[in-house]
Amino acid sequence: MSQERVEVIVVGAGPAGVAAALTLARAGVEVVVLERGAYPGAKNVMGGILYRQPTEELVPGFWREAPLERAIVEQRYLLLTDEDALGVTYRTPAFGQPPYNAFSVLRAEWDRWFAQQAENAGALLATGVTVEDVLWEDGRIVGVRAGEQGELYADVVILADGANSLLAQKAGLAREWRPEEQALVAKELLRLSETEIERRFGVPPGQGVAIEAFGASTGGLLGYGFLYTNRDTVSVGTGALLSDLITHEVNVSDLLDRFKRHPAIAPLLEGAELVEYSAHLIPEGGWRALPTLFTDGALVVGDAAGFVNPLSREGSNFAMISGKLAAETILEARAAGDFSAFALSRYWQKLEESFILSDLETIRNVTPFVHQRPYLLREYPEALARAFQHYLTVDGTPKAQKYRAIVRELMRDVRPTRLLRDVLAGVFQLAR
Amino acid sequence: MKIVVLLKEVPDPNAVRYDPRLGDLVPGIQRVANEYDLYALEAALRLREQVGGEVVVASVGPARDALNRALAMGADRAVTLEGEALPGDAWTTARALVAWLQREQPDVIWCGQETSDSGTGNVGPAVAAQLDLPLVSNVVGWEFRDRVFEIEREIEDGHQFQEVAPPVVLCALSALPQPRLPTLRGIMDARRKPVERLTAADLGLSDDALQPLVQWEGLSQPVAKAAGVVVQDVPPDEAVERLLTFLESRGLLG
Repeated sequence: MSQERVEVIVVGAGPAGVAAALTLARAGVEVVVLERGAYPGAKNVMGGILYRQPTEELVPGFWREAPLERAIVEQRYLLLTDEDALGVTYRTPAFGQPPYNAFSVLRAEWDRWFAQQAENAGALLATGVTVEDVLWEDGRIVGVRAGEQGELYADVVILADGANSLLAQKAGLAREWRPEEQALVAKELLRLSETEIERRFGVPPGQGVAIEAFGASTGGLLGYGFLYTNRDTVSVGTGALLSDLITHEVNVSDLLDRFKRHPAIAPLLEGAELVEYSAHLIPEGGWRALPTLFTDGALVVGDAAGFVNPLSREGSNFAMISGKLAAETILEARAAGDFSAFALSRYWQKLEESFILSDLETIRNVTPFVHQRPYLLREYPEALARAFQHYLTVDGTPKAQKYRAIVRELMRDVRPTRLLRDVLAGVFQLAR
Repeated sequence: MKIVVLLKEVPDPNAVRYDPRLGDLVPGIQRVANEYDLYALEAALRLREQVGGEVVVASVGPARDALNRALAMGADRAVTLEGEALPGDAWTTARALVAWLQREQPDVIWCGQETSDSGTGNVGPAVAAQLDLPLVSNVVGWEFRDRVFEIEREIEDGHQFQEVAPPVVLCALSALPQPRLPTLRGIMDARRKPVERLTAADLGLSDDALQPLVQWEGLSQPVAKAAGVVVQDVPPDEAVERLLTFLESRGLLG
């Protein structure tokens, strides 16, 4: 029987795989996307924020027609103790005007729409196909095997099969992630009416709010809670480092329950009806856990490559841009008729020239940094909340005396020398 | 042997949600092939493997993904019957299918017992009636021997065995063998298989012929029922006593 073959196989119809397929199909390359779910988005979980600029690199003007929920005009950062909350809010009407900055999206709908763009460009999307392994010939990857569904051969295979990529491991490009290299996120989709969302969050129709909460939202574990407003639903979730969850014997869904009950969060969700519950792994290993990103006949993109910036909650834009860069690498390789590791190494250069590798390098020590300083997410929020409570409480104490007391307490709890050391270390790590 | 499979695209039953404010399903639910129809297709493919011939899948209304799946599973070609009045109700759907089936003259028509969206189970029987063909519904097993089907069908209190010779309409239940997964080869081959799009006019059907018999009034949520009275973990005498008291209080004992 003759081999069934195409030019490029993409495994996984998430943002990374679809971005690659879209770019290739537009250039006239015969590309097949193999997706394990019944349709794109059926297996995807994302906090739900999509940035405009990187998405426009793939579909210019997408926001005029794509299924988007709300334009995010306000970002709230909260520091939570068990009862209290303090925070910073940034809001600008500019983010509510075309061309916008970011949107909340529902992944199931967005992924389907995005995949449709690739199909319209000529990519073949095959759903319900579980790829189990890559095929080798003379030391190079030449295709994929999907169990009893058979084999398919190609010049290049793009591995876009998501977090803790089984294929990258089977291909010997990656090792299994360690618990400290991945976060577990639990997320709920809760239904509220459009008008109720607009009333509770103080936004006009079509605009929304993103909240990230640190501290007690994860019981002091490394991670955060989030809340994003969709059109008539709210995405709310918590994520924490898997190793922390294991060590502290904490269940991430319990963290989410506690986050939802927090006095600063509960009123925003009151009466909302649960629509959907999901959990997912997020790569956190970043720079330190980078797999081999290319080999003879294959490239690794998106979550499978660990391309996520946990500090700025960016994942889908890393995914889409890495998919695009992988596709551009393949187009160059195709023009030269050479799909060897040497030819595909241009992918690494392109990643270096983009924000992807540079961002990963910038933040490579953030996780260990916070991890070595557990007080950042435990003691600091408590101390700051106490200081604010003191400051705001009118109780007849003369102000000078009150201020002295606040400073004294802060000196005791925050320890300025340690704080100074931490700030300097932090700035050094990020701004080098 | 020419085998036709009637296939409908329905909202993904795993994703269906009712929106009380819209009085309809939430918009944008992914559409998938109706599950029983895929069992019918599997039976058709097995029949073709046994006796040779051709499997044609037909859908009323657009059904791109479902038909692609059917072609990838092994059907030879696909047809969609489209038009403003289609799919309409079970009657208009059957009318359109019959106009097309009269041209195709298949030996066997497989369909799912019912669809997961409207759930009338009327299309198969209506097609059989209009073509004046025998119909066997609730099929859970079959064999084809000496040009005769030996059919096992599920009925209310057991199983019934029937023999029937083609041409015939068969309605499948999910106790039949599971639909196969498309192979990668099948998926690639599907791209090269013909998909024919026919309009009502192509089939010589006027608007009058496609007048629905059923008026669609929209969806509503059933009113929540009271929990009811559960009598358990009590001695039989006491249980009887309680039941009698309950029935009496409702004036149900005459």
